[in-house]
Amino acid sequence: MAPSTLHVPGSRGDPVTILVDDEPVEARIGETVASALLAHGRRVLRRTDRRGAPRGLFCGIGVCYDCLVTVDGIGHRRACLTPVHANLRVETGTASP
Amino acid sequence: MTEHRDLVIIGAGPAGLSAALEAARLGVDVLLLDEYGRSGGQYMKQPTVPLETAAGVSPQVREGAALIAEVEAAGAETWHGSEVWGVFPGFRLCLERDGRGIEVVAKRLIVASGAHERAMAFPGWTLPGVMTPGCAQTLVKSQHVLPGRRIVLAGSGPFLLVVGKQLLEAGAEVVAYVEAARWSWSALFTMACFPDRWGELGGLVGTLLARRVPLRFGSAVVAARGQECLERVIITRLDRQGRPLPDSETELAADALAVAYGFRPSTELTTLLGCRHEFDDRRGGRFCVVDESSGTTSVEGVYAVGEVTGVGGARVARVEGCIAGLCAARSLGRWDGEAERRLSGTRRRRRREQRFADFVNRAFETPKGLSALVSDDTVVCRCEEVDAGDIAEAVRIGARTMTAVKMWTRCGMGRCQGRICGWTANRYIAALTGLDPAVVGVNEPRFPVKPVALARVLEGAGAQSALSV
Repeated sequence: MAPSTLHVPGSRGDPVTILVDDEPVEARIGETVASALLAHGRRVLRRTDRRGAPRGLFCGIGVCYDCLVTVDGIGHRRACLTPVHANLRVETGTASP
Repeated sequence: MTEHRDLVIIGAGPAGLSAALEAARLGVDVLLLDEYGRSGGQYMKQPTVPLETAAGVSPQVREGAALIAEVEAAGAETWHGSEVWGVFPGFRLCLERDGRGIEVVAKRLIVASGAHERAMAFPGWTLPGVMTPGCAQTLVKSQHVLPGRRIVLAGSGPFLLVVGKQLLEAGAEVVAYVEAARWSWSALFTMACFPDRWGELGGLVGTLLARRVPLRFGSAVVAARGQECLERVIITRLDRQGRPLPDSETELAADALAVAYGFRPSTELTTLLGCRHEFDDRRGGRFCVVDESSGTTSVEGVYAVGEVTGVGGARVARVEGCIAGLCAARSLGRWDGEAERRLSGTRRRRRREQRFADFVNRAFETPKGLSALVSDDTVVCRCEEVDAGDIAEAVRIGARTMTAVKMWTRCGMGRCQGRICGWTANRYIAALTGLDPAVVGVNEPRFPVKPVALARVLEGAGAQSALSV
C-alpha cells in the first residue's frame, strides 16, 4: 500500500482492497479503476501494438479507448468508466488495440 | 427485447435534462438515456466519491443535483449505463445497457449527445500523464484525485479557466496556464456588454491570479517529453497567425499536462439519422443544424439540443433543451397556456445567451497557423498508430479528403472512430492541400457508433444467441 497518494485532502469513501497485477492496493468506493490506479502513481495502463508505446488515461470520459485494461478476467475494459468494488482484479499491459 | 416510448432523449446533460423536465411536466411519456452511471453529463457531473471539506460542492454540481431531482419528480424515466450504438428509421434505437442489448422504438427523438474535447496532436501527446482538461476536471470533481503533483494547463478556451479554478481549489499545484488566444483589449471591451457574466469571469481569473499561476497568452505547448510517463513540457510563443516561434521555447518540469482546444460536437447519431449539418470551426467543427425557435432538425420528429447544435455552453444548452422539450410535447398533443408562455420567454432567453456564446467562440477561435505541431513521426491517430508522415504520404499521392486519407492510412478506423484524431487530421490535411476544412471533411460515422459486442447486437434484435461474450 503506497503511503503517499494523490487523493484530495478530505476525500472519503469506504476503503476496499483491489488487486492490481496481483498486488493489493487500497481504493475507495466510488472511484473508477483509472483514478484508483492514478492515486497510487500507476499511470501506464497498456502498450500499443506497433511500437509497444506506453498509454494511460487521456480523455477520462470513455471516448478515447486508450485506458483499456483487463478487469475481473474481461479484457478491453475502459478503466475510466469501471467502478471499483471489493476484490476487483485489474491486469495492466494486456490490451493492444 | 423492444421497448416503445413516446419521447426518447439521448443524453442526460444540461440540455437533455432540461428537455426531459419540460416534456415530463406536460405529461409526456419520457425516457432519458445516458451512457454514464449518473445524470449530469460533463458540465453537471455528480461526484461518486464523497468529500468532507469546508469548501462544499461546486455551483455546477448543486445546479445539476437540483435539476436531476426535478426531472425525477416530474416522472421522466432515466436509464443509466446505456450506450446508443445505432439509430434507424421509425426511430429504432439500438443500445447496450449494463451489458445487455436492447431496442427502443420512439415516436419523437431529442438528441442531446453533447460534445467531447478537441485534441491537437503534438510530439509526446500520447505519454501517460498527458490528458484533456475534462479528464483533469473529472479526476478532481468526481473522483477527488489529483492528476499529478506539477500540472500544466494548456490549449485554449474558457473551459481552461474553469478547470484551473477547480484544480487549485482541490489543492493542486498548477505550474503554468498556457492559452493560445492572444490577450485582447477588444475582447475585454466586448465583455462590458455582458454584465451578468462579470462575476463569473472575475471569480475564475481571480483564483488564478491569487495563487500566482504563471499565465502565458498567445502560447502553446508544442511537445511533451519523458521516458514512460510525462516529465517535461515545452512551451513556445505563437506569432500573430498562430505559428510557433521556435526561438521562444521554454521547458518546464511537469507530471501532468491537461491540454485541449475547446470542444467538438458529438454528431454521430444526428448524422446517422440523416439530419442536415454544417461546418464551422468556431462552433467546434461539424454541428447539427436546427430551427432555433423549436430545436427541430431537418428530419421530422428529430430534435437536437445543446452542444451537438454547435458549442455554446451550458446556459444555451439548458434553454435549447427547454424549447425542444416543449415543442416535442406539443407535437405529441400535450399543451396548455402556461407552456405557451414558457416557450415565448425561453425563446427570448435563447437569443441573449447565444449572443454571449458567439462572442466567446470568436474570442477563442484557434488561429489558422496552429495547424501542424506534428513532425513526420508524431502519432496522429492514437488508436491505429498512424503518424503525420503517413498522412502526408497519402496526400502526396492524391488523397484530398478525410475519407480518402482514412482509406489509405487507417487513420480514424480504430476504436474511438476518429473522435480524437479528427480535428488534427482535418487541419493537417487542409494545411497540406490548401483546401477548406469543410471540404476536407470528417470521418463519416457508420453504425455502430460505439464498439459493441456481436452478442449484444443479436440480443437487441431478439435473436436467441449462442454467444456468451
